Amino acid sequence: MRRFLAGLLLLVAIHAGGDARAEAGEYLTREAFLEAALATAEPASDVVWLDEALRNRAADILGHDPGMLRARYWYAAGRTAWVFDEIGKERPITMGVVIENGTIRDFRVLTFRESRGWEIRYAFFTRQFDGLGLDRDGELDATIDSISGATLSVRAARRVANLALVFDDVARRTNTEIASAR
Amino acid sequence: MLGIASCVFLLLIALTGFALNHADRFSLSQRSAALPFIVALYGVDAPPIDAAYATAERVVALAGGFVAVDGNVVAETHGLLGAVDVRDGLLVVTADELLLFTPEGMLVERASPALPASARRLGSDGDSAVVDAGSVRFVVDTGTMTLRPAAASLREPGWAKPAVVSDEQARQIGNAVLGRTLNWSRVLNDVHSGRVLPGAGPFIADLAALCLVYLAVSGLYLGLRRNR
Repeated sequence: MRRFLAGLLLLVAIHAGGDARAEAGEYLTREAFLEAALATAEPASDVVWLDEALRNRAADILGHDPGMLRARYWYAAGRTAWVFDEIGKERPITMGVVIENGTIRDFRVLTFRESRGWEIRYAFFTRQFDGLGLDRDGELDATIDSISGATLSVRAARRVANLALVFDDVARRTNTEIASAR
Repeated sequence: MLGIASCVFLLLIALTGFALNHADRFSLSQRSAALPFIVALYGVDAPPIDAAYATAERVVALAGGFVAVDGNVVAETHGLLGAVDVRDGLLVVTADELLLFTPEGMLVERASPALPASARRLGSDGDSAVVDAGSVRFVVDTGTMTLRPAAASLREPGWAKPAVVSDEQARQIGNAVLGRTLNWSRVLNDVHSGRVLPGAGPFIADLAALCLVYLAVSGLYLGLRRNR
């Protein structure tokens, strides 16, 4: 009987634990991200229109339809900045990517809304993207180490970084002001 | 009997675990599980319509914290300012975002400019969309997806008028919203953990797990004893 009661107490203790959502939230506003990324409070913006080929390319990277016909970016001093929402597990994570000369200069998590995986906000993870570009296949040219318990968030971050680099490549070919705005 | 029950439980755990392990590949969180028996099991109702606006072609509604255009959920928000037809298509303004759609209903772009907290309604002066924020009005530039203060000479806009949706539309919108929160990822997760049965579910799952432990240990013990 004593063993049964001890087992029962253990079960109750296991189920009494709460979930930890304290780390989700907005870490950086879009405006603050853009100002820090481009060193100006009012950067110029333009859009990349997704024709069928680019839409298919984006769908390959994301694993789903991009769900938009144009992607906005901001630019100044030869850099472009992109802000995307991408679902990790169930809710969108807002991420920002700064690109210069075809490589990632900075990667930030602006808002995290899921209950798990928020560790991707920390510099030990995001600095892995610094200096990354596209390889011949149009994918990230280096691997990104995952984080235990944050696999889906890490995958979402990889997809966004890859997408931003692909869109940046198109933007630089269509908007000559980016390079001249140094 | 204990063995059969444990086998059924093991299969349930294994299959749901496999599906959850590949949740992103199967897009489980984007797939609605709002089937009648699951809705009944969870004991939830489709959320009512909190606000709705009708344009020439579309019905835009807010229900349960989500905005739906013609029954398709397009955004999560806590407020809907309105929806108006603009030159480029359809503009929907929520408490957090501007959403621009083509006349055919495809999303062109969504943007989150800093909307004033006092923004309360959306209208159109015939050329541009206008946001009314009490003492000041803003014109929406759908090219840059930004707001700029309206000129004093701005014509009095026609404000988006709340619409009444039919029961059929309300049911369709409610089910679409319900599908956002009651998705297959959540349902399989709850089945996997036993939480699909409120109250006793997790304890039943724990008891079944203990049965599996008992079968594994006793099987190991019997196997070792036979080999001696």
